[in-house]
Amino acid sequence: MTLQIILAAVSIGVVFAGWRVIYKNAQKIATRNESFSLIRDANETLDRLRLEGVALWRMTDKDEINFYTKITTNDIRILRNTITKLNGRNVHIDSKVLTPLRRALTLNNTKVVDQSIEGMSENISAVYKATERFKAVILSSFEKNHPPLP
Amino acid sequence: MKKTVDIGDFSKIPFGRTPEDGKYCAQNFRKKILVPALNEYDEVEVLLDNVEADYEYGSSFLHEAFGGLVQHEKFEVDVLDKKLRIVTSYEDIKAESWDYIHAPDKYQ
Repeated sequence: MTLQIILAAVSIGVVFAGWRVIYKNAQKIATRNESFSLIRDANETLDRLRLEGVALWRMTDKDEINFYTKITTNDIRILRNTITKLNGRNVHIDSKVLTPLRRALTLNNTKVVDQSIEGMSENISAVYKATERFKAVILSSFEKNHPPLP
Repeated sequence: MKKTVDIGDFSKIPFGRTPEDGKYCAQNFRKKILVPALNEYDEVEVLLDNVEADYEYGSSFLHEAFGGLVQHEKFEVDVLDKKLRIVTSYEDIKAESWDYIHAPDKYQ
């Protein structure tokens, strides 16, 4: 009788431990997926910013500067909010990663119509570099906290 | 004596470098508000966060407003290090503003 009680208790213990492992793994995967979804959103915003940046530095009409500044700074704000959300999920990203991006998109953009071809090329290249760097930083921070699944 | 300058009193959407870019440009902010405050007071605190929700500063504005203190108004960097405090909850904005004070020509 005592043996039966012990066996039942051990079985319950094993089932509970198994359930706990499965629950923890599911929770970990769900957290990883949610964080990765934020990374994917950030990448989409960065791709959009790249297109906006190229359009901005190829602009010939000065009247459009305000429009482009507004949309690029809106997207920078979206990235700032994403960084805040990721930090809240333990994917730590220093907000200073925004600086090269902001510079590439808004530093001297009011002089866009006066730039030389070389200047335009440098500015567009800076947009590409800043967006790629940003993507690398967020992915690396994500992988530190959520190593790739085997 | 200490003076607190709230950029929100100047504009909730400061934009651009020079008056050509609009009335609420960095040059106007620097010349009309920052420079007189720095000349008159021992310590000047600039609050940058009282702007429209979801507003983001452009680098041109930060460069002209803060870098221009050294580049155009001829303030010494070490004087600004002692006198000026840039207050914002966004570390990147603060660091970038100080970059322009310390090396304004690098970003021209």
